[in-house]
Amino acid sequence: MDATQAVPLLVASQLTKSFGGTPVLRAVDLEIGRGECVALIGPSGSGKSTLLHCLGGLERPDGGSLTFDGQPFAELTDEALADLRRRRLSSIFQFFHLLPTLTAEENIAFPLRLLGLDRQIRESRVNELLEQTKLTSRRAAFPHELSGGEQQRVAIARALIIHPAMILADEPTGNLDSTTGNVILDLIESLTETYETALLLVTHSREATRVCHRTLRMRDGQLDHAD
Amino acid sequence: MPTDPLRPRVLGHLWSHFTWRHWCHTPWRTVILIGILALGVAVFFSIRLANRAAIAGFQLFSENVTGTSDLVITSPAGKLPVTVLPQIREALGDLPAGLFPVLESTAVLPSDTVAGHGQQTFEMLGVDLAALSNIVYLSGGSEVPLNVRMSPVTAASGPPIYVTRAAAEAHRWRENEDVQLTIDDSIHTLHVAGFLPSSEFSIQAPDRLIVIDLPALQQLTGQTEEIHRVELRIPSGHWESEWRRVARERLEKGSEERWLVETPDQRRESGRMMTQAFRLNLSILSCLALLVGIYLILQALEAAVVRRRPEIATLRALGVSPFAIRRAWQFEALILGLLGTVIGLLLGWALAQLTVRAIAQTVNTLYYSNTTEAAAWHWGEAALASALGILASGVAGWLPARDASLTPPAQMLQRGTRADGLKVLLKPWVGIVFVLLALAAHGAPAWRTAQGGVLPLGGYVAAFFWVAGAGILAGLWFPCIARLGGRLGQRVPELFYAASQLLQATGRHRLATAGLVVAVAMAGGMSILVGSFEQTVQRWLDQVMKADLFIAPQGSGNASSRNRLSEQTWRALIADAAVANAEVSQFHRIRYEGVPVILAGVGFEGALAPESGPIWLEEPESMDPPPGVDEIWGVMSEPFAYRFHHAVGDMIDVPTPTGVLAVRLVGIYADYGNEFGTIAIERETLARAFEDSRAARMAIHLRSGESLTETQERWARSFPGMVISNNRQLREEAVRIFHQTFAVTHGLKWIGILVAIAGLGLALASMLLERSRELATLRALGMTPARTARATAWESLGIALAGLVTGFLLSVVLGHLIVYVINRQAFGWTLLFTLPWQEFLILALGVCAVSGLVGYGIGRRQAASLRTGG
Repeated sequence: MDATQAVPLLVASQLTKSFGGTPVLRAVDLEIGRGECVALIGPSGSGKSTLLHCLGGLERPDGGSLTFDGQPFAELTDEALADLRRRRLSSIFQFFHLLPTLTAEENIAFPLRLLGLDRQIRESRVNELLEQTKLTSRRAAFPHELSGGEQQRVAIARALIIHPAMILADEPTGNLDSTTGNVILDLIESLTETYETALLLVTHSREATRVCHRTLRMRDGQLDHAD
Repeated sequence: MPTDPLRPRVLGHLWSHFTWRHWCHTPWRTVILIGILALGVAVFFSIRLANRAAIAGFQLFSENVTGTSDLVITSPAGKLPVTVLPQIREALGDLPAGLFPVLESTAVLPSDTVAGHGQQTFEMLGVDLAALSNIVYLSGGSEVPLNVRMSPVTAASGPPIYVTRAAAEAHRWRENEDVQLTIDDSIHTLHVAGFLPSSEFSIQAPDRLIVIDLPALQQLTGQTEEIHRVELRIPSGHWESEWRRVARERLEKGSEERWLVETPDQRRESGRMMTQAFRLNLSILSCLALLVGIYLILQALEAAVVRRRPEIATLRALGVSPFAIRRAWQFEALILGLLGTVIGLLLGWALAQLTVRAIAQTVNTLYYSNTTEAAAWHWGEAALASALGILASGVAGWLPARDASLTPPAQMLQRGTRADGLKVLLKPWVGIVFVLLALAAHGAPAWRTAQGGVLPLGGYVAAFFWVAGAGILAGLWFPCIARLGGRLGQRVPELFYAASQLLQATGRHRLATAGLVVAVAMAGGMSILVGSFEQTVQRWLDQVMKADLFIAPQGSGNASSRNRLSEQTWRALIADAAVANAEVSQFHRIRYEGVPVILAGVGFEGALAPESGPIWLEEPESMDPPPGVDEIWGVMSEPFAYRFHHAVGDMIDVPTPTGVLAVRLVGIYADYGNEFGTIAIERETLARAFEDSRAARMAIHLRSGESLTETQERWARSFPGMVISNNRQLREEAVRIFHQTFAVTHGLKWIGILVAIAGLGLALASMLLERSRELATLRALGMTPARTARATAWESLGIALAGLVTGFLLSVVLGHLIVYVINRQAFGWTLLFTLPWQEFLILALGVCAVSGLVGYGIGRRQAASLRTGG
């Protein structure tokens, strides 16, 4: 293990966040290592999504510190945070959030367009991921022409196309039936392993935690270990 | 229709707890929406008020000699001999009636400039001042007419005149002082003997009215044996209406075509008819802002439906009927319409005070004397504008209301998903049907009113269907624009994303485009009309303005001017050593088939000669009848041929003071000087028929080597009552009048464009709101607000491009329609079709730039409104 691997990829320390005077995160401490899969469970309103937004740089915490790969978020401008999301930090959502006017293939390739990569690189990576997600035959379909499972597979491929250091997944199986949900979980597990990507998986489902190395529980804005 | 026992209460509750609170929550949005509607109503209302004021100006001049006359006797030849008075009295028999002869003339303040254009013209009314005192008796003491003081004037150096206090203040005239005025081509000294009344008990005189004793004016103008009309008053009392009827019957019976008998209403109507086409064009143009406003309200309400979709779904889920939802939205549109209308009326009244002068000036130059400077409130016009405003909001609210009530709750609950918007815009066949209807309406003949007016209704109906059809078909451009954007956007992700939105353009995209199409097409169509007109007039001026100097009496720039050059003056000018040759022309306003036309007298060897003559549409083989044929030959202007359906070879009867002239029409020429129509005959024939050898204007060619400026200045000193223009000055004046005529048109055009761009902004805002989840996704993918804003700007540009391309294509169609159908039917003019490329380019660049900026601003605002954090 080299020195960089010894340093955690993401470190949150004493994170706090309130909305309208109501505390949502209360002194949250969290560390996620490179390639590590962590599940985050908890009841509705416990602060899971807010924590995810803070970790993704979509929300600024009120207090505490947050570093990603040694870079303190507090020192990053909005533009730098956006750049971080473009290059190293991907998200997967419960409702897939595909861009409805783009085809499956275009959705997957879109993050590479934002990076300004050449067409050849885009095509080769998209083809690779389409194959891995078994979507090659559906590449030209628009989101509304895809099933829920297919849409989520597109979302996973889109998240992985930039070879991110970490994926933040917000209940990726929450909108799918259990069979499809299991397929998606297996896919996430195998692909994050393949690409050595860290994963923070927010879920309601105990079943989903099976693909993770450890599980954290969130309750009233605080974290504790579930197992 | 489903019944809802709680409907009124539900409606009230929906209004007070939802609509009203939403309005309070977004007050600026509400204010802008009401403001846009108010602007549409205001533009329409102001133009109508200003038009009405211009008509009222005519009414004032026609009414104020004897108060409201019972009957007015005029001549189809324009003037009556004074010997007509005993003939009228004889025709009336024993009926008690007062006769008041009137001679009209015009006067201007002596100009200190050589060209002397743009002067204020005073209307001079020569009336029998002694006879006027009879009015008090005739009206039973209820009316005081022009209550002039008849005290003897002492130390007067000229004939006494009576002026308004307003004119006296404006020109610093004092009672019992002399003033100088140019009448015909001479400067006269007149004595201000008193002021015209301005009390509430008397008829309000227009500011620029001057009353003078009839014999004095006859003397000044050299028309000692002539009058222009006779006003007739019947004594007030029980038999008044019966006597009026009998008087009219007897006068018509005894006329023997020597005079025409009209009521004041008919005279007003003839003034109205003169400007009907002009006013109709302005009124229809003024609807442009309202029409684009309809699109805007539609977009705004559509946007509100999108914004409140979850709320509607929740209400539906709670059992509120679709009917109640629909009514709530329609009610909201109605309230918006009412508020916008009320504000629009007030704004319109204020705007009318600004536009009335421009319109009055145009009417003054082209039609008749008009001194209107203020537009009065009119309840009838206010009701019409209100009805239009409320109807517009009702129409605009209907489709969103329908959408709101019909969309399934489950679909509506999915906030953030795309919706099709107005479905009718997604159906090209509807657009094709409209276009077919437009083509059918193209060929419809004009509607001719009983008073001889021509309304090109078919053309307007065709324009409406073209606009409606093109608005729908404009959406067909989106795939092309999207593919182009997709190609160009291979390395520009914002453009690529925007192109993907346009590839699957919703009804909302199409609605915004349709709004732009209407505005661009109407603006483009108007530019084509103005450009074609300008080009045509330029070519016409090139053809007819070849002389070195043009001479006319001062004040001749106004259509009502009766000032003329005396025979002595024009003969003196011809005899001047500097003159190589001169064309002398005269014209009279006469009635042909009861409608005002112009009878001109020109030199057939000069003004109508092939090398210097007009643009011929049908050139006569000869201007002189062959030997042995005793006929008077003349030519007609294009509007005359069109209005009266005359062709070359027709024989027409032309009324003159000495009898009817039978004239054979042997040619048709282009004439853009007036829309009434002109018959031109040999000047000497006209002079004999009218027993009037004066001239209206002269065109003079100087001998080679003669200095233009020196001659101009020398004549200006010798003949101070004349306007002497050189070729350049007259062209500049023609161009000035041209631009003045279209000044209001330009203003209306830009208001329409601005409203359409506001609509585009509103549409983008609602589309982005609808796509808030997409924006969040883009942000999660690393797109900054600036990049999102750029994507929106590209999308906005795409919409603008579709609107511009369709708008310009449609403007060519509308321009064609206006030039070849509407203009031809309304004015009888053939114009050269011209595409004003430069103006189109400026319009396109302006619309693109503003659309891009609006898109960027809205995109940035919407992206930033998502939670901060990059």
